[in-house]
Amino acid sequence: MLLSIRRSVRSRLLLALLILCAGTITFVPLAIRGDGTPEGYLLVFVRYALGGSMALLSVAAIWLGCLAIDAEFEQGSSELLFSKPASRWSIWMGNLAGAAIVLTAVMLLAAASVYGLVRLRIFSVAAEPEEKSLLRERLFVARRIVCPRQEDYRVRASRLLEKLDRNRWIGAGMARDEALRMLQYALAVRDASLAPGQSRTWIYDLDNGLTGDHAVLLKFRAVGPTHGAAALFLDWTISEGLSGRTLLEKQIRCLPGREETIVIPAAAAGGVRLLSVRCTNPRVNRTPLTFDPARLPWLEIYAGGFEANYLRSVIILCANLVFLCSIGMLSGCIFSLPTAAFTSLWWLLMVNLAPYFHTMAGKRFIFYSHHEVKSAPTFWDNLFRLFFSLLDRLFYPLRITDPLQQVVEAHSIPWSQVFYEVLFKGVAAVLVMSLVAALILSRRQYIRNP
Amino acid sequence: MHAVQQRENGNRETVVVLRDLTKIYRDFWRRTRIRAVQHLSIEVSRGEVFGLLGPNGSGKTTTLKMLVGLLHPTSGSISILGRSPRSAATRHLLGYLPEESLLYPFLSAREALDFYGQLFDLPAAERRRRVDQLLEMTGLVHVADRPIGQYSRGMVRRVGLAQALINDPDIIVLDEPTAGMDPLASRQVKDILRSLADHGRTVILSSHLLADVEDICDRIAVLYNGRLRAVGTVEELLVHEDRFIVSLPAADTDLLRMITGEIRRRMGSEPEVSHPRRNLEDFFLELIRTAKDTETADFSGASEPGLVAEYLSHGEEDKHTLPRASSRQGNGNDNIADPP
Repeated sequence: MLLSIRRSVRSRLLLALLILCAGTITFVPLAIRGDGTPEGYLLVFVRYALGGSMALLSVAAIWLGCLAIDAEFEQGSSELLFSKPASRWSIWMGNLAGAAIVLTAVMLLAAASVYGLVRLRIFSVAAEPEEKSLLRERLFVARRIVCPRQEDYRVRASRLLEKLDRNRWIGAGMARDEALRMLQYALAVRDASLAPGQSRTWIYDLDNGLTGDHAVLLKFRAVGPTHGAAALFLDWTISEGLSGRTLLEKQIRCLPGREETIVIPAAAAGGVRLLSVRCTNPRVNRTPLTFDPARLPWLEIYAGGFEANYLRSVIILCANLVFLCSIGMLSGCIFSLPTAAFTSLWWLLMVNLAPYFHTMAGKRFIFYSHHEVKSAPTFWDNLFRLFFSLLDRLFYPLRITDPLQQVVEAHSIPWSQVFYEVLFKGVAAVLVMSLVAALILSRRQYIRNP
Repeated sequence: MHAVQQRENGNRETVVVLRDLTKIYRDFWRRTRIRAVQHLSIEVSRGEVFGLLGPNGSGKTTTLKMLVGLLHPTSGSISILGRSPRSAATRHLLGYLPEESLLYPFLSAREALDFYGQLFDLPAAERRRRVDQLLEMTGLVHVADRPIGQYSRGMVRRVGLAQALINDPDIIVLDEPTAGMDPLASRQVKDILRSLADHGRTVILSSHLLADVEDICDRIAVLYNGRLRAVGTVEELLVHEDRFIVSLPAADTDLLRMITGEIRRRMGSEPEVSHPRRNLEDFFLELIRTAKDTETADFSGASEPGLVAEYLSHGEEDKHTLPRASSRQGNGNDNIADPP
């Protein structure tokens, strides 16, 4: 471990990484100005500057990992190292620990610098203490998302299907489960839609109740006709419980497709355990609108401070760096440096594409045609779905998440996510890779120009 | 407890046994590329300096790598003190110096030795003690904190030798130990090795420098094309039993003519008459010693080595019984400061 740290320090790799990260943190905010709002500054500093440093460190982690073992073989020092009684596993783990410490140290330094810059820059925008307090409330928090109670549409859909079946309204070629799925979706869309003059109510369970110290945000994104970008008006009534006191009544002017926010003041929300939100589409709109059934209006409630959330995101990033470094080291055990680097970068690409594989694996139809409506998946749909399912099984658990986006959006990163990333990627996956590497190293022979 | 193979060979136990050893390098498709070693059988006893001699590509390095477990034999077996060379327990007893001293260039000699000591799980205090003694022994005290990348090749070889001895090994395997060294350093290394053998360590070395092998080895095996061509003591292999050399002090021409005439008359063959020659190494060492006695020069490289490290100078019998900090078992071989 100490050897890896000394190697990094004396080969000036650590210095190079620090300079690169410092350069990224300095020049990215200069190059990307943002929109001048505090949210814009947060986005530029955290998402782009620290995200850029993370991208650099990811490549460095892979490179460092590939070099750690491969250089031992290329330079021949492995001949001495592996003639000693230290186990292959301990040598591999020692190398990884050294590289992990170096990468984590650079990451922590970068994160600390970004945090300092964020505070300095954002609070310089607000001159008055009240403004600063508002900023703190708006930006320097972490909120968790609460979604409304969702109805299980299976029962309603099956009843409807039986009725349609009796009347022979289902096409002869359509599979029953396919028809059931379509009906469920149609019911969900109907329940999320509002014709002019129509209202919908959603109920939100707030487990421990609201403390009344922080405002609650109600967010929504309406889907409607976007031609002409005509604004729609929506009437919102937010009350406590099913028929309790009204907390807020507001008419909101919104644009379809854009995320809108209603702030429920802290004082009004105190002690509330059940919240009902009623939305009315006034006749003045003269057009129906809907919400995505998978993204009905949601609440964002206070779940902690910015600093704790930021720290959790940095822990996740560090776990990802260790994971990438161990991928590089495992590749370095098997292949020569260029092949190992290529293989590791391929892995990096795959784990970044994992969410896409997950989406594709969940689709029933991979290929669509504008000329015909498919009643059942074809052979090619099934084949590609199988292919994506395999990729999904392999890479989805290892996917590289983007916790910085959550920090920027003030979404709380739950400890379960942190534990998953650290235990699964930083420990379990690394342990498995170390055992594979130890097995490979013990089978490997030390031939130099025989 | 390991089963040590015992053999009556001058009352010495056999510590290394190679039986019908063969190593074939194959390509990706398992086709034979090189037959590096073929049916090699050798036994080496405790306290012996055993030399593997042969031209380049004769299989010396491959044999040594198999001996330290870096290569796996294609067939045949290797036993070191009754164990496989690939077991961790065996590696605790081995010291190995590869053909090229492939040390980490960013470490200093002191750090490198400490690092290799850690791989043997030596306690920190013991490591420090041994590192100091080895640096003294190899004459690297003055440059101990400089990065190895700044060392000359000879100095790197000295560090390589020191790391091979950090664990107080029973068996020391050295691949071309004097390669890249000047004659003075080479002489010093040879003396160290001889001294270690006198203290019960077994030294197995390979070289293509015939004079080196002749100087220090008790027994030699000659390899060519992966096969064993000859094995035996230096005396057995080199002495012409049917010829004698008579050395005389300076004599006048008449006396010499009379002696050669008498030999010719009695034996019927012409005797060879010439002046004896010192070998070049002796001449060089004498020259350097004289220069040192008369001049003082600025010196930035390795200095003259010191005594054999104290922990190495225990005999084999007392190695495990005496406390590590016990006093040195002094004898004439300990002081290697003045080459013979």
